Amino acid sequence: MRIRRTARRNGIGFRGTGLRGLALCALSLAVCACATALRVDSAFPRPVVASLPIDVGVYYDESFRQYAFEKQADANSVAWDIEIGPAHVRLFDQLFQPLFENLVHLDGPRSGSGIRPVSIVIKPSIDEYTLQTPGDTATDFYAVEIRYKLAFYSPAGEFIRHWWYSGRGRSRSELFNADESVQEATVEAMRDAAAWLVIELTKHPDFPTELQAQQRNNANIRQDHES
Amino acid sequence: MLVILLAACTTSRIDVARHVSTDLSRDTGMVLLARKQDGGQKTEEDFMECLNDALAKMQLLVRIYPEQDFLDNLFPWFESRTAPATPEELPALLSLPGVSEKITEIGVRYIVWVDGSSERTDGGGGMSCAVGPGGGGCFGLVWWDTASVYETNIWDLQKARSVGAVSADASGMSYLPALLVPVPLIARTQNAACKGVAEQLREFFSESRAL
Repeated sequence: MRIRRTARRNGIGFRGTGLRGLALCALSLAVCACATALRVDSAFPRPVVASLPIDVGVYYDESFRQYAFEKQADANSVAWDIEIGPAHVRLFDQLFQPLFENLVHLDGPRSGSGIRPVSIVIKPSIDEYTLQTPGDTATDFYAVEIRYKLAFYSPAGEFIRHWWYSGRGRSRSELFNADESVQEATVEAMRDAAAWLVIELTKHPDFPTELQAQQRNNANIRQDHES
Repeated sequence: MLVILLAACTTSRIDVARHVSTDLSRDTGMVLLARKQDGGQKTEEDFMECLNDALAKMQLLVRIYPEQDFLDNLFPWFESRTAPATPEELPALLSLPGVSEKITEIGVRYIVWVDGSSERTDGGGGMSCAVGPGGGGCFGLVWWDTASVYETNIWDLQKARSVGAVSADASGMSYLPALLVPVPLIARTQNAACKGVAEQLREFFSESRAL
C-alpha cells in the first residue's frame, strides 16, 4: 500500500510539478507585468539666454545615450525600468544649441586627427539616478534626484576636469498613475539641473579659457614631476 | 439637497492685503504659478485647476496665461531653485538678456504666486466591514479634520513690485458613518479655500472693483 501510494503520489506529483510550473510561470509573468517600464518622453524648452561667443564640441557616449534606471521590486515599491538616455540627449542639445554660438557634435572626446576647431569639448554623463517612492518616504510624493558629471576636454582631447551637479524633482502620487508621477518627477529633476547648469555657464562666459589655463597648469606640474 | 445633506461643515477665513491698484486691459496677461520647492510643488494640481477654472468663469479684465507655457517661455528663470523669491529680485531678473523682451512678447504683466496645501490634521474612530455568503456591510464611525491653508501673492512684472496678497484658511471635519453602507460626509475645505481666493482675486482683476 505504502509503495503504491508513494507511486501514485509520484505520478500525481509529476503532473502537479507541471501544473505548479505553469502556475509559477504565470505568477512570474504577473510579477514581471508589475514592473513598470517607462520611457521619459518630454519636450524641453529653449533657454532664454544670450549666446556665449565660443565654439564647443559635445560628445554623448553610448552609456549616456542609452542610460536606463532599474529598480528591483521591494516591500515599498514595484519594480521600475526607466529609460532616460534619449530624453537627455534632446535636453542637452536644446540647452547647448542656443547657449553656445557654435556647437559641434563629436564622435569621441579625443581627436584622431589633431586639434579640432572648438574651444572646449564637453562630455556629459549621468552619475546616479535615485527614485524614492511614497512607500520609501511615507509621504504622498515621488522624489527623483539625478546627479550629473560633465567631463571637459581640451580641443586635442586631453582631459581637464569634471563638474558635478544635480537636480531634484518631486511629484504628488496619483492613484493608478504611478508612471505619470515618476515621469513628472524625473522631468522636474532634469529641468532643475538644466536650469542650474545654464545659469552657471552664463555666469562664467570665459570658462573655456579658465579650463585651458588649468590644463596648462596641470601639464606644467606633470612636466616638473617628470623632470 | 442630497449634496447639502452630505456636506460636512466647513469654516473659512479670507485675508486680503492690497498695496497698489492694478492697470487692467483685455490685452493684459496674468499667470497663476504654483510656488515650487525642492523641485516640486506643495500645492495640489486640482487646487490650481479649481482656481484657474473659477477665474476663467469670472468677468475679468485680464486674460489668463497657461502656467506651463509661461515656465517654458521663460526657462530657466522661473524653475524651482531659480524663481525670484521676492519682488525686489525682479529688476535684476528683468535686466537679463531676453527676459523682459520675452515677457513683453507673451503679454504677461501679473504673476499670481500660489502656495499652500490641504492636509489632514487629526482623526479618529473606527469601522469594521465583513462579507459573507448572504452579503456584507460595515459598521462604525470614522472622522477626520482637514485644514486648507493657501496664500497668493500678486506681482506686477512691469513695475517690478507687489500689488497685494490673498490668503485663505479653511478647516472642517469630515465623517464616515456606516450602518451597513458607509455614508461619506466630506468637508470640502480645499474647494472653500479655492472659491474664497478666486473671489478675492476678482477684486484685483475686474474693472468695477479695481482701485
